[in-house]
Amino acid sequence: MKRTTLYAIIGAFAFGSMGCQDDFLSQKPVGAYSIANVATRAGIQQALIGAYSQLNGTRDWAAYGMNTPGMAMAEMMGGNAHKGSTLTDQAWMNFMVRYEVNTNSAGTNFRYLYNAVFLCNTVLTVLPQVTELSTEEAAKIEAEARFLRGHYYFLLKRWYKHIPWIESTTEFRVPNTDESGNYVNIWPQIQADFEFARKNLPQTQSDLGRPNKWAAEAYYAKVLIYRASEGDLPNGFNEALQVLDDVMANGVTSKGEKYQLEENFHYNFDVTRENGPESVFAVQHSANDGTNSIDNGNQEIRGASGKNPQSPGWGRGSGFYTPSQWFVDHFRVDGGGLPYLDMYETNPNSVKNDDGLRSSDPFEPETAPLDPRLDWSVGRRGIPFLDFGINPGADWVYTPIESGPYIQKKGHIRNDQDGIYVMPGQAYNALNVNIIRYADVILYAAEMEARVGSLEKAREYVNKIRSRMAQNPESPDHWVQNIDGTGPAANYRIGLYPAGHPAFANQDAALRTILFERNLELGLEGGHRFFDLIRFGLDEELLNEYIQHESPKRSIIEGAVYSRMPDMILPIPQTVIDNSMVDGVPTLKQNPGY
Amino acid sequence: MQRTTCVFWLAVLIASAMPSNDSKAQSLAAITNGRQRVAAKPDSQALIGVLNKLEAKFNVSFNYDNDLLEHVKVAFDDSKMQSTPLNQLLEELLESAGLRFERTNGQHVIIMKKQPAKDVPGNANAKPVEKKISAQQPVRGRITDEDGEPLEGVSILHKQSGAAAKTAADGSFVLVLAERSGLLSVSFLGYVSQEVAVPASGDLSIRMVPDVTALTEVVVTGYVKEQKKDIIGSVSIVKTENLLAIPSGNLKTQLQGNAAGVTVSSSGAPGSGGKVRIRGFGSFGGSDPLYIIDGVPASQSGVDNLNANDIESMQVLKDAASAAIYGARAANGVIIITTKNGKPGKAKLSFNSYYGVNFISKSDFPEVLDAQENGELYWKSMIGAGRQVGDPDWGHPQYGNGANPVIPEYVLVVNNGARIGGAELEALKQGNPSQQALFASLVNPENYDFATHQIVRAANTNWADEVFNPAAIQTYQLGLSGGGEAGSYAIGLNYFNEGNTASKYNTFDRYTLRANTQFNLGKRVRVGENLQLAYRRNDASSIWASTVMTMHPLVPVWDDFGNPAGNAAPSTGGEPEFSTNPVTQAWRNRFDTSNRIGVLGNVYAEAELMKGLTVYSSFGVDYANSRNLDLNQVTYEHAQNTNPPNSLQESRNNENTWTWTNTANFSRTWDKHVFKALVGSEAINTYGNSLSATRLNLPIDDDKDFLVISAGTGAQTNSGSFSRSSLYSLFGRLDYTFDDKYFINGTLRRDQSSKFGRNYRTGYFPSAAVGWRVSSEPFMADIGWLDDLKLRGSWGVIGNQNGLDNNNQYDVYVTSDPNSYGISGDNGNRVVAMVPSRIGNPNTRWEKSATVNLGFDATVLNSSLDINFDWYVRRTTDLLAVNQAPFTGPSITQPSINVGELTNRGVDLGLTKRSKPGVFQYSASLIFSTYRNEVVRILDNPLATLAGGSTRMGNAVLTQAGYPISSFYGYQIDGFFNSAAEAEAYAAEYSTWLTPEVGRWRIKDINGDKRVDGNDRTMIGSPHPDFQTSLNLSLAYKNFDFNCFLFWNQGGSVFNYTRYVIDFHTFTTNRSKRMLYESWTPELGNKAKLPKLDLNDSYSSSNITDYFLEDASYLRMKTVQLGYTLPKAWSDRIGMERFRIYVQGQNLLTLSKSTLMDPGYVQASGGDTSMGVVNNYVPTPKQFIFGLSVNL
Repeated sequence: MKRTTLYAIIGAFAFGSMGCQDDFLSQKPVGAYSIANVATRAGIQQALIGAYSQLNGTRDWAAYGMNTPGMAMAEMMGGNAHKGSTLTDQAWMNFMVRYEVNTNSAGTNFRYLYNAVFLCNTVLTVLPQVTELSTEEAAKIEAEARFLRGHYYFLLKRWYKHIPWIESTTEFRVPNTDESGNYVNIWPQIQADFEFARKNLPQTQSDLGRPNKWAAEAYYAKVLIYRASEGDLPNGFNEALQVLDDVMANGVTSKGEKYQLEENFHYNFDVTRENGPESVFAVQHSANDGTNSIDNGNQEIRGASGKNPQSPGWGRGSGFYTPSQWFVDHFRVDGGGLPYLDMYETNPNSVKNDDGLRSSDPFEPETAPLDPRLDWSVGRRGIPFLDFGINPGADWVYTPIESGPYIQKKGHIRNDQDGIYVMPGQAYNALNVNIIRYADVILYAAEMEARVGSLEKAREYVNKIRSRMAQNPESPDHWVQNIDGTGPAANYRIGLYPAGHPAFANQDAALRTILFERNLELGLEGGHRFFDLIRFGLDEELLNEYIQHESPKRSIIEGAVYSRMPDMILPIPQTVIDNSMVDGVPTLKQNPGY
Repeated sequence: MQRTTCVFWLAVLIASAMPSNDSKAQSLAAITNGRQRVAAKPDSQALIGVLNKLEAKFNVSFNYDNDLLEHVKVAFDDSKMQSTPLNQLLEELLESAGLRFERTNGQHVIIMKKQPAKDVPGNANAKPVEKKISAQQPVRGRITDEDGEPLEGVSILHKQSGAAAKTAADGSFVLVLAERSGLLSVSFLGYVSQEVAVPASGDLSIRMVPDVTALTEVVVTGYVKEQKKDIIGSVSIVKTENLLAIPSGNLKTQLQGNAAGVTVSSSGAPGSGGKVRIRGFGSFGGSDPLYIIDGVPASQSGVDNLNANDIESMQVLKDAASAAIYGARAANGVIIITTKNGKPGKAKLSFNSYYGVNFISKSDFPEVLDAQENGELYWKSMIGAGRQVGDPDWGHPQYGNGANPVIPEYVLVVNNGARIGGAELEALKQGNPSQQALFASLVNPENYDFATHQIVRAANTNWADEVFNPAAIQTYQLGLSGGGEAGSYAIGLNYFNEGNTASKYNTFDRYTLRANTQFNLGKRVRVGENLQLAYRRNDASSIWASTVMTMHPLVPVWDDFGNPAGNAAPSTGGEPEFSTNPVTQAWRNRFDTSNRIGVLGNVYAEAELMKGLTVYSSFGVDYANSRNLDLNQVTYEHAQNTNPPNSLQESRNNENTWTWTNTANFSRTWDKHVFKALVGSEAINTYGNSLSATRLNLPIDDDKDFLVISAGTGAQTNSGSFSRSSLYSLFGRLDYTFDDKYFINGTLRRDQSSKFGRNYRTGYFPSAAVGWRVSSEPFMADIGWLDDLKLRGSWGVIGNQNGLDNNNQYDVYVTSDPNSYGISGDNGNRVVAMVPSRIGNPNTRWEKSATVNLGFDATVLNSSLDINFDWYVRRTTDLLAVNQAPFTGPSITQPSINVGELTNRGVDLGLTKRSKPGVFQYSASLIFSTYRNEVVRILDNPLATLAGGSTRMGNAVLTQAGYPISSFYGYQIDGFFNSAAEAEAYAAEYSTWLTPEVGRWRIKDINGDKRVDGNDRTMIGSPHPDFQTSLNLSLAYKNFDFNCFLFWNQGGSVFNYTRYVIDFHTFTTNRSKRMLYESWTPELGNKAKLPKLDLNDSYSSSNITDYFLEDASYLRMKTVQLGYTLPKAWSDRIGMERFRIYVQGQNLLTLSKSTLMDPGYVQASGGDTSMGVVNNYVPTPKQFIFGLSVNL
């Protein structure tokens, strides 16, 4: 080879390799989008879907039941359910159900909910940049995003109370105190989000999963009620009642169907009857939906399923979240079909149970009268469970010693729906969970009447709820039936409160009656119980009663004391505070008492 | 510039360099060629020049006295070379100059003055009478190495006359002397120079002795070759034979203990690589060193594919001064590997092989309970919980509810879903007649159906015995190498195979082919290539080695009907993590396979443009293509089953990196001054893509011929990704040496990386080093025992971008199915979301690591002892750490940002003592490494922590300022409450999560606030060793050789996560012996290891405590090897150069306080901020090996 040729080649190489640096060093991501792709008509809708997708709650065990729509943890803390599973699995839950919460938590719930807020804020931040939208379209998107943000903040507010309001998508280290060191109160902002939503959402929605104006109205009322219960809004109960009256008079579902109670209580938990006339706002679960994953199924019910393949959930779960005896005993009724509002004072007998018995041991179920809603809410031995056959007791329970004799019922779907409304081999089913259903609205109305209006109206509303399963001529058909067609599976009885009944004799009694009714109707389906107890100021009294009655059966809560957990709220996890530093100073202040 | 234009320009430039294509280049060539032609008059050529041409053309070497020929000019027409034979040419050439020639061996030509006619050789009867003639005495000889192999290129100098010669490929030389007297000086790189008297008559036979101090050994450091004696950076040179002495399928595990400053931790899984760290941990995002193989940066898989038999030399660049030439990627050290090439001489064929067996000895099995003991433990625990016989909660689903635990006949009957436990079956068996009839029908084999009616008998399984089985290890290596004037070649073919002691279904196979060639195009130009093809296959690699400790002994491996048994039996397990049947699950994964094809290599050209100036260009490729097949079978035997349908996942992955390096190297010596300079450029481009598909429901899943995606009938999903990054660099290096005594060098590299935003794309990495050979100073001349002493000092800054995501600077939104939502209300439809997936930071910069290194190299005691010592401080600033989003922010991927600082300081020491050559020889090498790591600052927040080491009790590992990276964090135990009074007194004063009770642990109130809570957690240990040291002892006596290699890791802790399951009432698995026999009793008191047995005590194991920590120190006898080499005479007789056989025992002895099966896995477990939580891994096996090595 000639030397000059060599020079030329080397020179060319050296020059060539220097010549294209800039292009060579610019390596943009492949298969990913930028904000320009979001700021389009289609993109902003997809971003909004991202905000919706968080309604489903996290699958992370470290926050089990704290942000799923079923709110299992609040049900456990409200005394309706036990932790179940084994004593050592998810040991953090032991501290929760014993009301010995410490600051030493992973912060998973906190992070999950603020991430959901962030996804709402992403929509709200990008929205002004989308030029293709009409004013109405933009307002509707904003209203949906603010509805969702209001919801996520509502969950945060209930658990932690003193939390920062964050609207930015870039600045997250926002203090939860003001300049003078007092905690900020974000109720006004939450209320403003629902205010905007109720003013800007349409009456109906073609996608049934989107909230309409009436869902926003109902949620708005709920916010007013919580605010007023905390003494944060002087006229809140009155305002709430007006809104609720409007909802009851004019409210329709997203389909345009007038709100009304389903004719059968159980239809609310039937996967084939979702988004019916009683559904005000529901989290949409789906399965076999093209994701080929369990991402959109019910996360909570997976934890609540047992290990027997013949049992509800097909043995694909871990046996958490099992109904308590205390909850079941709420459903005992007297000859008139009315509950024992004083629990054990007039009737010390618990509902007969098979606690400690094996399935092969003989057992006869309770023959005393019971509210028929019990057997649509709780699976107990001897009673048919959907199409799974008669509940055999212990064989369907994960760990009878920890869990007790009962299993969940409101969240399970039928055996013949396996593989259809649940992904093959999985437990995460497609059954929606209502955040607000119409019965809840009516009971709120009853409560508001009791607080600021008429006790008589309150009684009417409560009776309206009860009458669905009681006075209807077909009502026995709506009760759980024996498999052989010989009629109701138990001695069901449900009566209405007659005029002048002591249960509505005064405001205090009426409120207690309504609280009781809320649990009969809404127990084990959204964590209402725990927060209702706090709202009504009856948490200390009733939860200690619960512990006293229940702890001999379940050693996990033995010796626990509910001493109004400091300020009735959870601590902000220490790791959350540690991570809020700006210039070495935390921006978040711990909740009082921790 | 657009890429297309760019490529176009390159093409034009290359094309223009071709003589025929571009007028400008051509005319340039014409001018220079023309000038040469004008100068080439027929009578004007120097004779020496002509001889050089003839040497190249006819492949001969001329020997002559320089003075004789120096000024001789001859008329010579170059074109005659093409057609005329050499002898004729020489005759014509030399005739006119009054010279003659003599050819020896056909290759050597001696040129001398013409002799009188009678002395001319060729006259059959007239032998030259050398003694009498005083002029032109040819002295012939042959020079070999210590094994008798000929050495080519050895210099022979006659000290008196200055006459010189070099040996030919067969080791022969001829030197023409005026008279046969005086001394010959014989020297060759890497060998001890000798002086030999010229014999009065006859030929010389000289055997060279290797220079054991090897100071003249040439090693490759960054982009250059240096003699070892000139190195002033901190470089560990790894001996290839030490690597080969470790039977392993991965180079990284062979490296352990073989280089000072390098720590290696690994498991015993076949083919697995382990974690290699040079001088501690310098980053959060992965402190892997940079590997350079034949000048080409190699990916981890490229290194994993490397066959140690192919390695010629291996250097570890440790300090900044040596590594800074690699700039941006060198902060964690550089390992430079040069593969074998042929040497001139005849072709050499070698064959090496060993066959052996891997095994785990029974003495290493974990100490766990048998079936009866497990029941006894439960009974004691019930008593501890205050239960009494007859209480409703007295009893166990397997062991019954009597006063003593009873092992049932059956542990499980699955009756259409209902799982009937052993105790219940036992009750039926002994019940009334109808119950007995029920029992008989339940256990009737006629009713058996694996899916719906399992019948499982109780066993007393020793799971370790079932899981661990001896497994074969073998390798076969065939090598061929050789070369000549035209070039050289080396070809290697290797097969390695190793089974897994923890699964008989798992086998690891590796095939490698290495082909290195180099061609000499004339004297000044070399082109060549290095190529490795590798194919690895790891079948059925799913291993559940940790469950040998936790599987319940009542469960058999297989049921009576040959199907897998599992923890479906009540209270025999639960979580798959702890109670997956390790034997049957390995069997279920028997069809899983993962294979990888890798190509690593480069082509290069090197040209010496002028004396001392060499240019070099190399284009290298590191390519890998892998395929994984993962079948998920349906199970029925577990407490948590894999439900129908089954599924099959196939994924493919492509990674490709090309590297183009261009350098120019200049070196010149003026008197005592030596200058060297290097400049270069390098472009690196990496890209990869992956594709994965999953199919549900394969009708046939027990035949691997049906395991393709298309054979499935259920839902299918797929995913794919593409990633890319690039790096462009310019670098330079200057070296100056005066009098071989004073050394100074400096390097500078400029890197530009696509991983950083435009404004922070460029980084500069400088270094400087000085060296002083003190031993060459006159004042040291009298110190007889000191042969060589060199002091070294260096400073430099190098960068790191390991662990930095390619897209770090970009905000990225993705369409996401996990974030989809069934917005329509339809139960079978969802809408896919578009959500932010990562936040970008365009302001991220290089992580920088500055190292100060002081050291010395000494050779003492008649060159029998080498000492290499280094002390260093390595300070990493602008530490890349993934931003920790506040919990009030999004949980999407955060960018890496430059917030933090950490230091490593330490000492590397190497000592080698060796005997003189003789019948008995020994050599002992000691390597010692220690480092102290400290995190100085992270995230500009004194409370910021990086948590890692996830367990069911929370994170066990924390990285926080003021402590070593990845320290263990938790509560400290302060003994037991030995009396009710102690517990009460404590309870009165303190509040705690672990309720004070007799026999329970007392938890230390670290901050003294009388409340034991999260604030009382503290750093309880670190996974870092105090030091690692190794001793390599070699003995040779006659034809026997013996080698022993000891490795000692001192200090550091390991978090034994298995204790969580086997020492406490967590899941219903098997338990440890210590739990049964060493839990607190009044008698044991503080001597107890565990709290009082109490079934209700779920609190002792609810938080991380120092109970879980074990001392990770261990001393391991890694190798003992005894070899025998056939005497030369015998091997010659069977036509072999060398024949050696050996037996070897590997890892036969390990001394350790840890209860883990292998304490050597500590640092390899988890990422760098998540180390030391050990649970599931395959222990390093013991090995017996028989091997042989043949050279032809």
